[in-house]
Amino acid sequence: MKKLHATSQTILSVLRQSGGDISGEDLCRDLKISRAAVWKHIQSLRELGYAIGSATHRGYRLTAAPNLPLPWEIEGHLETARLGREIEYCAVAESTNPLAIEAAKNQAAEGFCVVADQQKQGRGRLRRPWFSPPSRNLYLSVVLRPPIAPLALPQISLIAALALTRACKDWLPESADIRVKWPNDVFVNQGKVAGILCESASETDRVHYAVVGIGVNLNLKREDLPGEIADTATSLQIVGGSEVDRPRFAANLLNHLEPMYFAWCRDGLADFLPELEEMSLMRDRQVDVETVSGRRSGIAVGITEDGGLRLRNPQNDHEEVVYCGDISLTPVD
Amino acid sequence: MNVDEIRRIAEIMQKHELTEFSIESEDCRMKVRRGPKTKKVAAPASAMFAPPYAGAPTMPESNSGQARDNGGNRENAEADAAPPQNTIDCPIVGTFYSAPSPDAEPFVKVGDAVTPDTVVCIVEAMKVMNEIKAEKAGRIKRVLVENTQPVEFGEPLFELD
Repeated sequence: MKKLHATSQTILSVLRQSGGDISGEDLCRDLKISRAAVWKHIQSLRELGYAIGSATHRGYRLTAAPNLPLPWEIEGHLETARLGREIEYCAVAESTNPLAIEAAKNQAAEGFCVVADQQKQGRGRLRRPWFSPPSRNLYLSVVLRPPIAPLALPQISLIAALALTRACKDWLPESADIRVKWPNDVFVNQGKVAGILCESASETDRVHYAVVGIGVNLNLKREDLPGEIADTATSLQIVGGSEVDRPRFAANLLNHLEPMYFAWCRDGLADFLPELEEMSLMRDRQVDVETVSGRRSGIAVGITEDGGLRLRNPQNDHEEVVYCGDISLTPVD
Repeated sequence: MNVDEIRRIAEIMQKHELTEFSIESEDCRMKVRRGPKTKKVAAPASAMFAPPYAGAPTMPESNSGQARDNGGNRENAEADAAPPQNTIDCPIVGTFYSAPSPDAEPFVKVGDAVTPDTVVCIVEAMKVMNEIKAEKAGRIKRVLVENTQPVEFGEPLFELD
């Protein structure tokens, strides 16, 4: 579903702006449609989850909007030029990334997004599952076409992670400890709230597309968390205590991401390094990186201008940089 | 060009902290790079955002020998008897995956015909899964890297007929 019927959209706006009762007769007259047609549009809005009361002699009244990441609800909060200017919404998707990749291969414009209420096969890297129940979280994939050399592309993970930390900050109390776990996860108070999976296609000198898939645990409750992630995952609602407005969060995330993305395309990662280091979950901590060529260990001392993680060997102060691998942190004493 | 000469070049590079050295003569052409393994091919950030390939390191066509710093002071010279020709090279630094997931069939295998648009592998870096296209037509003659092996910028991944 891409768009709400234009008339339904108008009725929704009228109900929303009035804040009170709107008579069916007024709607008929203003929209030049029949009473039956008005009823049909009201019904389709109700099916989407809008609570619209109706009473004889008084008319219709919008009492609640669904907390769903519907495109027109997201658009209402967007301040972007490109990102999210076209959104495809799926009540249920296998996974949003393949849909966005498909669109990217079919010439979707930069900024095109796929958003789902639920993912059947939500996944992370190497097809690891990402817990994606309905009516709780955000699952969003955005198509980007960065005009950069493929060599620099992996840095997009860090840019997206940093945009996520800013978006989370807007919803959480100041006491919340928001961190980036290099290179693609966001943690709040030591629990994972968001993950990023980027999939791209490149040739030697050009990136065809990069799809940035983002999963954020917004309104999961503790009892929602399945056993295997109960100890490691958290959500903004668990931390902040209040329900997150999903479309508003989605728009706010894109509002943060767009200027950061444009700046990164133009100037690279250097300007973001201080913030990345400040937000880093592992700064000055002992980390182990499980790479395909063996385990690397050291103290995480920073991030390089090309996005690599700097590890210092505490014995000999020798420094190395890693770009791949699964990171685990040694618990702080 | 013999092993001693190559060793001498390596020593000169180390002494003067040179990271790259090229030499060309009538019968030989070689390029030597040194530096920590993870940093060896990482172009400076400024170069990455320059027009593609400007200043980016490239592999010599005839790769008759190269010296590597194996993490210590020992400089090693290797000779590759049959350098691959007509190759598909890696545009990023990362981990090579021959298949879309651990239990899937490889994207391509020896003998497969490819077109410029054929996806031949995925290279992952910093959790970005990057599909690599063949960019040329031909038939896969050799797969030059192992699944899940680390690969570097400009490293030949496949040889075509």
